Amino acid sequence: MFTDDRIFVFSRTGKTESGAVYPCMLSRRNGPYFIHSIEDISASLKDARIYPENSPEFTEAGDFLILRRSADLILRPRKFLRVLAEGRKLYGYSRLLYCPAIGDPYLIPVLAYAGVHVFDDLFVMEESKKGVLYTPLGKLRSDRISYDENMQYVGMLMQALRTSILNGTLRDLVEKYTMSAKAVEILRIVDEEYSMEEEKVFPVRTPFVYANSLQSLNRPDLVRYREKISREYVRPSGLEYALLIPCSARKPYSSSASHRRLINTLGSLRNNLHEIIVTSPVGLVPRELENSYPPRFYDIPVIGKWFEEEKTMILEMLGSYFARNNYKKVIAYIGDDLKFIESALPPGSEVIHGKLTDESGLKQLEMTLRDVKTSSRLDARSRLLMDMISQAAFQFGSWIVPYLENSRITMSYNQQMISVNGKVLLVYNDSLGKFTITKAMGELFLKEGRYVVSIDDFKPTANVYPVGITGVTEDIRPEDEVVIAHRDSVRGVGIARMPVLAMKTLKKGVAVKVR
Amino acid sequence: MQVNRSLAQSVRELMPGKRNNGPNDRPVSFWKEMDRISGKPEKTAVVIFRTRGCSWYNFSSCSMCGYFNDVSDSVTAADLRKQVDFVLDQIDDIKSIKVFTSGSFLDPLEVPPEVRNYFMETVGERMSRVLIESRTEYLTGRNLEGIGRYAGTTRIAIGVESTDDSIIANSINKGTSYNKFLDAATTARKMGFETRSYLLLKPPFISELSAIRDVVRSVSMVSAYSNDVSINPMNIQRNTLVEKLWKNGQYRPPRLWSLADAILQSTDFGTEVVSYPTAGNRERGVHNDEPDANLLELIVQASLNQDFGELKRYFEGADLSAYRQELEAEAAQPYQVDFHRMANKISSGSFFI
Repeated sequence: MFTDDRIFVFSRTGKTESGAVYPCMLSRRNGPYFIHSIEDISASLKDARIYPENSPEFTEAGDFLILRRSADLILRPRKFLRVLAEGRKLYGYSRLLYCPAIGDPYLIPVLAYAGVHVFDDLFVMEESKKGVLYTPLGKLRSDRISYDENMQYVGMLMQALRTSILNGTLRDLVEKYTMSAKAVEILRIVDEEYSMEEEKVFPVRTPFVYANSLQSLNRPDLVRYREKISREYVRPSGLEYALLIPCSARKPYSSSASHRRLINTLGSLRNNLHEIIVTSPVGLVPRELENSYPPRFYDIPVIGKWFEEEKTMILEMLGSYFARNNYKKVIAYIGDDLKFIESALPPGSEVIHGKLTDESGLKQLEMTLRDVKTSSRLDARSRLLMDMISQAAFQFGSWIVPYLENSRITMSYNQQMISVNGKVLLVYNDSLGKFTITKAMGELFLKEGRYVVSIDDFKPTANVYPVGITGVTEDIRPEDEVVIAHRDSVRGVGIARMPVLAMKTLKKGVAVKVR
Repeated sequence: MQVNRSLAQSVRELMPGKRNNGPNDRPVSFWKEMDRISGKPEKTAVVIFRTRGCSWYNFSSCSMCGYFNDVSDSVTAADLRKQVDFVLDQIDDIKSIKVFTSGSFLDPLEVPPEVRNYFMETVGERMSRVLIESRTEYLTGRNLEGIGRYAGTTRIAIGVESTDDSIIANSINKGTSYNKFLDAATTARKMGFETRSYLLLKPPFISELSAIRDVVRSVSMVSAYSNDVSINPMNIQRNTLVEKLWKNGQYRPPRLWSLADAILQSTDFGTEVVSYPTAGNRERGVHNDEPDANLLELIVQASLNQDFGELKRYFEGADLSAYRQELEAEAAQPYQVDFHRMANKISSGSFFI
């Protein structure tokens, strides 16, 4: 039996029974030696020798699955990934996957991301024989056998992979490690063809999104955010006027110099205004969501010019956003670089050209806003509540809104909380930009059948392990707030630490961290 | 006898449908080379008669055998007689001949008994040694009757390939078995024939290390039934499954070192061991990463003279640590491909500084 320390998407890190750490590279000269030994596997397969193309792709060997034809399949990444997906369907997370002979140091990270956990050193041996030296910047030709140096490099790579899986940063690492065209191809195919499956296991948050390349646009957490805004998000009902504005480098946007200028100029006019920030890679950010993930937790290189992919993405989002959300009027205060969005604005929209730092433009905007007539005037306090409820709805789903109808915001130790009838339901974590739930909220979760981890009859203390889990609702993603329940009784609340599929197919490892 | 249907099917699919590779009245080829079927090195004629082909082709073929490329469905007995006449004109003072067809010389449907007899009466009579090749199913008392009455000694060559029935079924698709060989060889020897066993070095799907072990074991198992054993390292023939695998980077012919190793490990089993590799040192034949003309020549000379001393010295004097390491690493792999080419294909996507 092995124990995962962490699962990230299809990658995982942990220890085998014999103490070997994965992901890893089996090596005949050094490093971890397990699965008994590679020779044993090979010997055990000998009896099963049949014409390989017609034999089952996966061979079971204890805790491990062996994809025997990896070396063939990897040359056709699309097919390779299809076979991996078939393997997941059959085995879930219950085995560690060993892919022989494809341990290319430049492919290992993306393969780990795609769900390969054990490699071997045959590829490195072949390359080393030719004197090819693998470095972080590309291959070098050397006139000696470079096996030891290459294995040292692989060792460092494995260490980095383990750390990044533990830290939830593997996606960034993979996007940035693009030495091999094949590696890029694999990531693109995963994002294109397995996005649904990838989304189901991708955590709701990672430490940070470094969107340095176009491929970042397809990150499951960014796609998920944009889809939610496009297809689910409903504007707070009291806000009838929308103002589209550009983003800022500093996050949250409202803490930037440019947004501060806007805020100071407009003052209380903003109480009735729904500000929407137009940006990439997140597309549209309603102001009240600017502190959440990912809007506050990304960085992207900006040079004042957009890629066509970004433009298309923003235009599509605007189209579906305004098809779902009607405003009395939409005003766009944008610079030259965002002129392209004008075609996607609803009829009757007003466009003011200018920069957020541009005094005369801001004055013009202020004059325009003074002219608009709103049916009711919101004060700052009710606007804050409205924004908080909108955030909660975005985090948990709109089903939560009726439960928060008579809610109030209270403060405790500088923390904002939402309570109903004196009962605290949600506590806002400002540094993470998310709500945590209380047991009282957990009751509602259980009643609604949302984010529920059902367990055997025990009292959860620090962690819940998959072996104690009897059922999980499919809406849970890693890092989600969940309620832990036995039948009708709430036993606790916590944070999901692994994908639903892993909770269902594993025995060990932390499934839920109990609060 | 086992047959792996999916393997047989895969081999079958690659075989060309049209089988008319004339001219029908000429052998596929005829040449002279050195061999020692009469017990000493001598110039030996080799003929490959063009026939309608191996009876096994009606079902499938062996995974490495491309001799179906040379057959012609329209070959008649008269054509075959003309082919015999052609040989008769060419043999001069040669005293030994090896006779092959793209199948079995002793298959009565392939070579009608009248032609067989005509050959033995004309060419056979002039020889001290005739070697004819056949699948085991034709080595029955009845079918062999009468062949031995010609002047010289007849040696019957049997493509044993391996004594491991699983390799026969799952790597070679030969449709035979070790027991069939034992029966056939025993029958032939009882009737006074000599026998030669052909063994295949490195059938597909097994590692080179296993292949060496398999050949050595096979030599030990056929030695008591064979006057000599010929180890044939794989060569890649057209339209075969092995060629397809090879083209896809899924098969590498054995290294010349491995052939030397296999031979040197097989010299003490009480039978002569020879090897005259086809396409040696070439891409489609047995070869090391770097061609080694000396080694190939030593193997051929040792085969002819049955003196393995020099080959042994050359083999033992070489630094084979890298070669051995490579073979061990490959043997640890649960699936065999041409790892060198596979690595090249995988790494071609990444750049050099």
